[in-house]
Amino acid sequence: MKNHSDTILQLATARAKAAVHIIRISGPEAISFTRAHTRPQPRQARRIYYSSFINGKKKIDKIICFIFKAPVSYSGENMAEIHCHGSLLIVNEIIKTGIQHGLRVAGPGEFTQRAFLNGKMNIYQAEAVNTLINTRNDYLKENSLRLLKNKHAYKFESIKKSLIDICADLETAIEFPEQYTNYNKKTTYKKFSRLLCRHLNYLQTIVANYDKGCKIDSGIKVGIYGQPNSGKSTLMNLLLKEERVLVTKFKGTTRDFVKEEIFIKGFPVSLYDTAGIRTASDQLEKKSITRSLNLIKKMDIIIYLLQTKRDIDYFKKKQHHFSGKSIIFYLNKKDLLKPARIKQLQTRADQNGIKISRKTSLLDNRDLNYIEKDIYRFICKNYSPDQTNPALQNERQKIVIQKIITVLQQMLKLCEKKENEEILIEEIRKLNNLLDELNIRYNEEDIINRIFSKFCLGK
Amino acid sequence: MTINNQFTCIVIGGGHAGIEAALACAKNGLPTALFNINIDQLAYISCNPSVGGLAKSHIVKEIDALGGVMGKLTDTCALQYKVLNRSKGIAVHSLRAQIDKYQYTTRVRELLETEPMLTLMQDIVTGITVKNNTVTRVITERGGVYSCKSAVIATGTFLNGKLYIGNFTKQGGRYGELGTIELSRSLKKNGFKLKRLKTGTPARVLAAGIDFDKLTISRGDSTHPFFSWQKIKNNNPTLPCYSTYTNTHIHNIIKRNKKKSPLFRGDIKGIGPRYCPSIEDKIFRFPAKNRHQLFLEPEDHTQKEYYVNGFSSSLPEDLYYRLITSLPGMEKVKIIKPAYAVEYDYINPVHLKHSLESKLIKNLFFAGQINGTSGYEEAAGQGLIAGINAAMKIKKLPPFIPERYNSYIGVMIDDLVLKGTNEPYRMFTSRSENRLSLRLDNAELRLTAAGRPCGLLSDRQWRFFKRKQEIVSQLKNENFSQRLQTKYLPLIRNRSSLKNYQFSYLFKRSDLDFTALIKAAAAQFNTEPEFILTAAADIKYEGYIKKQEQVYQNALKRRKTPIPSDLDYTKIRGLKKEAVTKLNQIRPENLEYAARIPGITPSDIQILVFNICRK
Repeated sequence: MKNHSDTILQLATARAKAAVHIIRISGPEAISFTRAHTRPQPRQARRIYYSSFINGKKKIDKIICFIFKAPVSYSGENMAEIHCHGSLLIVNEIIKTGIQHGLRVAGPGEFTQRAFLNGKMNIYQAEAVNTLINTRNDYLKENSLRLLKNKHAYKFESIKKSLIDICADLETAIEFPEQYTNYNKKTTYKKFSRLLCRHLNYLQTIVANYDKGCKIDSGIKVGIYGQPNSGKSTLMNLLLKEERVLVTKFKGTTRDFVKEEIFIKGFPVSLYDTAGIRTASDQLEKKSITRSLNLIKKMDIIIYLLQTKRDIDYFKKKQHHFSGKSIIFYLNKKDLLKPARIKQLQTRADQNGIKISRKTSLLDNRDLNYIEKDIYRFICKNYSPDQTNPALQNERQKIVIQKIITVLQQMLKLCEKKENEEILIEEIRKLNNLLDELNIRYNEEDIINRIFSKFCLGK
Repeated sequence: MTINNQFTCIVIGGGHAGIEAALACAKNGLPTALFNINIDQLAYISCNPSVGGLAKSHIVKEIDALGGVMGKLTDTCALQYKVLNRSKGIAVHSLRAQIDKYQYTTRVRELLETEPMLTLMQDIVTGITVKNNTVTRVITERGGVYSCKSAVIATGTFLNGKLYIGNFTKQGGRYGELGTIELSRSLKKNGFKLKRLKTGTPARVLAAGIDFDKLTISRGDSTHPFFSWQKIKNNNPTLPCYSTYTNTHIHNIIKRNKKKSPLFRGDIKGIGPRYCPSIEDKIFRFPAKNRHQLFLEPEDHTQKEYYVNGFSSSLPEDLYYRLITSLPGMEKVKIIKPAYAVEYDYINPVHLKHSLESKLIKNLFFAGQINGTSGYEEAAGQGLIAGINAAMKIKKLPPFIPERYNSYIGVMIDDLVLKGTNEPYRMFTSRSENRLSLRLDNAELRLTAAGRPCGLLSDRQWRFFKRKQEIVSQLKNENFSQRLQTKYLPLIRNRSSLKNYQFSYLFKRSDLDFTALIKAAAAQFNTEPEFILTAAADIKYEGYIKKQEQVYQNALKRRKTPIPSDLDYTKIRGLKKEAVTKLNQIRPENLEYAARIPGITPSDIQILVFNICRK
């Protein structure tokens, strides 16, 4: 079990090449350590000092540092930040100095954990910080910031209120049967069902949104397919806006597949350039092609480049590999084709049920833009989470919501079966425990207050 | 005056709490004295002439299962029984009896007088003496000094009681009875913080002036369970109640005269129970409601006097008279006892341990309305436990602490001790997390075994409990796996499709008549329906009961982690201010109790775990 009263330090920036690195220190010794190893020493909290970091007689780097005095800091403890030049060698020296001084390298999330333990943030906010660091998508980042600004969880308040109302109604029927004279089980249960359905729909929507968001977070997978030399790698390179993939005039160059990550109008996309699919000429090529075909099931969108009649026929032959997938077909290298030929190919494609979105030439920048737009439009249509409905932030929340959905569905069944009131209330209590995991439970007092404000009871 | 050393236990107050406590001490072989201001008014029914109702009837059954007397007394004096929630699930069935209140007091007196180790004393207790933080003596107004090894304070509404009828006020615990001020002072001197609560009662009217034809009759049930395990039947006539409604005319009179109500003038500082609102309360809080139902309940078997349920008030008498004679059927009614409100001292029960012994003064126990509860049943439940533990303490035996998971009495004590209260606490079935297992029908199975060491059970009662336990167990484990036989189908309206199903399956279905199934099972297995009922209910709620059992086991694990009594909460890093305040105030003995204090979050518990384990 980690000792919470020692001083920890850690690299706050990513462990990679950068212009500047930041080392964060938290704990009782944070300030004394920093003062011991910087000249001039930081005297006042939250002021920037331009100093040298030293270890004994050795000067390690020119740094910028500041100190924070507990409890006015991120973690609630004494803290310090050292900004050094972006060399990992320097970073390692500084951290080594810390360890010599008696500090400990922090584990992942430990600073935030201390912030939470010191009451600086509630668990919901702590998770938001976590997600903020991990997310790549601007949309999710915006949402993380939104949560950090207000500590309450979204529309669950309304779910909580509904549960209180339903519970109060049922409890009154149980506890005061002679005074709640107009209690009608049938109409009351119908009212509940309508309410529960509404909440169920909302929850199912946000789970779906979250799944979409996850997809976005991990990058929409776009696979570029087509016959050898149809322009796949060219397209890939152009989208990447740099020469990464080997492009030659000869067929069969891309032996395997190449994956690269790009952003298309803010959405992270994983682009896959595959080996040209054709009847393999050798074992190695056969393996490459098999791998490309196997990759299809992981793809979210397929970009299929066609060039010749044979391409179209070949696609038809291999069509079953692509079943269920969304494909955007392009007739490529139009600059090399006569208009009559293009029309022929178009007809042949139509006959085979292939809808060609666009005739393209990768030498033309406008066509490239169109392809990007097509991909972007597809993502928006199928994966864009509804901006008005805030998504969930991590798996933990999604799992809790799914459990809530299950209980709600069970409750609807019980309402339909006209099950006893006390059993329905047990299910509501189950829901309340799940809401507790999201920090929004109702208390017994809430129910009692609701009962006595809504009904005139008592002798 | 010389010190009287006769008694080992002294019970102060002979109300519903006091008599259970006194009998519990005496039956444990300890010389006990019960002090009451008026010996003719023991366990007097101050308000509703009825015992039971939702959750309260459960408490009475639990008292009976432990060897207390409220159940027996109620059955002996019952005038009418009603089963509530008959059309709902078994777990929420409840029993209520209208009783003859004068018979009740008489029977209580007989019971106490025949108890060999118990002495009744008519005197007013004015103070207690404390030495080394332990209660040693009880002082009375006539100068009596009585030594004791343990004492139970069960003063009800009498501690600094003040009565209000309109502008008229008077000291007293009930109208017509004296209160006690000195005892409050003595308690304050010994470190107790007293606050005020308020309760009220409606007028009593003579039957002679009531036009019963204008009222709606409300009869009791012909078949019903009993409160006592012996199922005591009495010779009283079965009497009905009557009901009528208020009207807008009455509401308008009240609205126009708001200034005359001491409650709305702010004269009465004590907080009243929300679930016992005065008629003014009802009118002002629910102005849209155009009528409120009132019940007329007979006070005794002669039916000469009726209690006007729902019409309590502290309005002036002439105004009240105008109101009551505006009720249909009551135009010519004569009020024999006025409606009034009473304000009294109570002590926030957080100073108590779960045994109801005070943490401030050893061997001093508190029970009943002084702990901030309302209701005869709630008081009696506490009195029983306080009395048992006052005796156990002297005998150097471990206290008997009913579990929250196992009984409503346990829920009540746990709530009082860990949450405290600032308004009169009344038991609701919803206060329990285990409502499905805490039923009327299984009180014995839950409590009798654990309660045996308390020394209140007769051999006959023990044998009854053992028999029920065996039969219910056998039904659940063997009989209910049998299938419903064809010849009993007619009992369930001839559902031929049911004949191939086992009972254990049938009881779980929500579309079948549960009562009819019980009849069929009783016939098929030739067993009393009472036992079938308990076994069947356990089957029906099986899934939920199992889950609750798991929660209970987890809680028990936490209970095994004691919290050092000298733990300085202010020195623990990470605890919120609110948590520190609460923990300091209540000083829970273990992690389980700490977790239940309102305002303590799971993260607080985690921090406590770190800190306790570190030491």
